Amino acid sequence: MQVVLLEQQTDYILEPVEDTFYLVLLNKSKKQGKIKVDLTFKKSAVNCQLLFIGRLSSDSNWQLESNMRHLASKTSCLTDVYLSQTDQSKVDYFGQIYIGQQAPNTKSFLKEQSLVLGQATYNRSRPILEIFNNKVKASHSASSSRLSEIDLFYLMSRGFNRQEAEKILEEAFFNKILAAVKLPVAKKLIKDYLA
Amino acid sequence: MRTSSIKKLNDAYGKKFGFAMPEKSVLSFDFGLSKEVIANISESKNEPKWMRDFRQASLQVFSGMKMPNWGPSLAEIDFASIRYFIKDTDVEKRTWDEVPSEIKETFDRLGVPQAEREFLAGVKAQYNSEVAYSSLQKELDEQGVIFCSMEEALQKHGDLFKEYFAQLVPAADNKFAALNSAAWSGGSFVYIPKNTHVKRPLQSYFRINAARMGQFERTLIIADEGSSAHYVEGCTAPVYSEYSLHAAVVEVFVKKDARFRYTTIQNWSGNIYNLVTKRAKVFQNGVMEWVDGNLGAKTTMKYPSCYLVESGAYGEMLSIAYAKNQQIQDTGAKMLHLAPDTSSKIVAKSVSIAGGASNYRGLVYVSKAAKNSKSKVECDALILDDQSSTSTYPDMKIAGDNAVVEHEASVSEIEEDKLFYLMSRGLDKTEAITLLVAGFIEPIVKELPLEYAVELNRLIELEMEGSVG
Repeated sequence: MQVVLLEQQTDYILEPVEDTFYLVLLNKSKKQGKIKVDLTFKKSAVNCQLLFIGRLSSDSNWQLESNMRHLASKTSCLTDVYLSQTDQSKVDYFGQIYIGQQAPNTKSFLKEQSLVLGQATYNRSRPILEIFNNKVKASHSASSSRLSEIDLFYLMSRGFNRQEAEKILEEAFFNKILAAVKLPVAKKLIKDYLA
Repeated sequence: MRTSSIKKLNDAYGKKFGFAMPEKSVLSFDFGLSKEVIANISESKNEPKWMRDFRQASLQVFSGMKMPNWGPSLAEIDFASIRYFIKDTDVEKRTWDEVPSEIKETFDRLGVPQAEREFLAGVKAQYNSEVAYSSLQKELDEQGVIFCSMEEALQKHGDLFKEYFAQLVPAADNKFAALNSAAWSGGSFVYIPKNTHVKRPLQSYFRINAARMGQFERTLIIADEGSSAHYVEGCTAPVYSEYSLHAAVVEVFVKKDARFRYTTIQNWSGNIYNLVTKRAKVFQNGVMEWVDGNLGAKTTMKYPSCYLVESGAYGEMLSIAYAKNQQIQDTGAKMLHLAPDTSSKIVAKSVSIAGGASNYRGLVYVSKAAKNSKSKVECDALILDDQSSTSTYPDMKIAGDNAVVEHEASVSEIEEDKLFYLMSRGLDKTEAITLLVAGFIEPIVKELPLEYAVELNRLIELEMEGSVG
C-alpha cells in the first residue's frame, strides 16, 4: 500500500486505482483551515485508508470534510479522524460514505474522535451514511469527550502536575491510532507531527 | 418475481388492514383551505375568540411559509384538494354502548387486542377528525387526572389549556405545524396532577377513513411535578388510491421529577403522508421517553424532540422504522441539552425491504450552558435486498464544557451464518429471515405494552411473507 501525504491543497478530488493510505496532518501553526477530501472508487477491489490527525491550538477554527463514494464492487475504505482540542478551538467535520447499487461487497467505516483538553471548545460532527446496496458492511461512529478526571487524578497523585498529566493522556489518545498504523512511512510522519 | 412478491404483500396488507368503511359523516366542509373554512371549524366547535384569532393567524403563517427544501419530496401534496374537517358524530359518546356499530366494527377489524378491550372504557378513540368516543375512567377522575378531547379541554379547562397550548410548537415552527395550528381538530388533552402516578397506559386510537382527508389532531400533555404516566397511540387506515395527509402536533410538558412515556405505533396505509411534529419540554430531573414504531404511510417525516431545559433532565428515544414497497421512512430524534447535567439517549433501528427507504435524521445539541451533559446515539439499519436503501444524517453540535457525546451507526444485511444455522434447524428462508428481523428489532419491541408487541411481531411476519426468498 502506498502512502500519500495530503498537505499542499485544501481540496482533493481523488480516484484511487491502487491501495493507498492517505494522510492529512492539520497544520498546528494555522489558526484557520479547511480541508476537503473526495475519494471516488471506480475501480474494483481497491482498498484505501484516510487518516486526519490534528492538534488544534487555542482559538483555531477548522472545517474538515471527507466524501467516500463507492461506485465499484469489492472496494473498502477506513476513514479515521483524530483530533485534540484546546481552549476555544472549533471544528466542523462532515464525513460522508456513499455506497451505490453497483458496488456490492463493499466495506466502508468512519470513526471520528475528539479529545477536549481546554475550555469553551466547539465541535460539530455530521457523519453521513447513504447505502443503496445490501451486500455491504458500513458504519460510522463519532465521539467527543474530555480527559478522564479519574485518569488525571491518578497521574497527579503520582507526582505529575496537571499540565504534564494532560500531555501524557493526550499522547495516549494519539497512540491508539499510531498503534493501528502499520506502514512505517506513515507511522514516522505521524510521530514527527505529534513530537 | 419481485413485482409478484410486492403484489402479494399488498394484497395481504389490504386483506388484513386495507378495508374502508363507508363514509357517513354528519358534518364536513368543502375541499381546500380558506379563512371561511377555518372560521367554520371554529364556529362548529364554539371556540373562544383567542382560539379563532390563533387559527386565522396560523393560516396566514401557513400561507407565507415554503415547503421544506430538504428530506423526501412532498411535491405531490396539493393542499387545495384536501378536506380539512370531518365530524363523524355530532356529539361525543359517553358509553361504549352508544358508539355507532360501524365504528365498533372498525375496531374489531383492526384487531384491538383483548387486553385493551377490557380497558376500553378508558380509551380515547379518534375516528376521522373528531373524538368519537369518550369516557373517563372512574379511577382517573378520582386521581384528578384530566384525559379528554382537546375540544372538551378548551371549553372546560380553558385557562390551563391556554397556558400551555402552542407554547412548545408555535405555528411558525414549520409549515405543517402552521397547517395543524390553523385546522386542528380532535386529539387528546392530558393533565396529570402533582405526585400522581397513573398505572394503566392512557390509550388512544387514531383513524382516517375518508380519501383526501387531512387529519390534523393535536395532543397536549402536562405531567405535573412528581407525576408519572404512559400514553399510547396506535394508528391504522384503509388503503385508498388517492393520498391523504396526516399532520399532527404533539406537545408534552414534563415538570420537575415527573416521568412520561409516549408510545406510538404508526401503521397508516401506503397512500398517506405522515408529517408529525412532536416535542417535549423536560424540567428538573424530569424523564421523557418517546417510543416510536413507524410501519405504514407513503412518506413519514417525524423527529420527536426533547428540550432538556433544567438540570438533571433526561430524554430518550427508541424507534423502529420498517420501509417497504417504495415507502420512505424519514425518522429520527432531536435532543437539545440546554442546562447542566442533562442526558439523552437515542436508539434507532430500521429495516428496508422491497424498494423501501429508511432514513435516520437526528440532532444532538449541547449548548454552552449544558455543562457535564451526556448523550448517546445508536442507529442500526438492516437492508434486505439491493432495491432498498438506508441513510443516516446525524448532526452533533457540542459547545458545553465536559460534555460526552457518542454516536454509532451501522448498516448490514442478514448474516449468512445465522441464516444457515436457522435453516439447518428446519426453518425455511422466509421464516429464518423473519425470525432474524424480529431479533433485530426486539430491544425496542420489548419496551412496548405486551399487546402492541404481539401485534407488531404479527405485522412484521405478515409483511415479510412473500417478500423475501
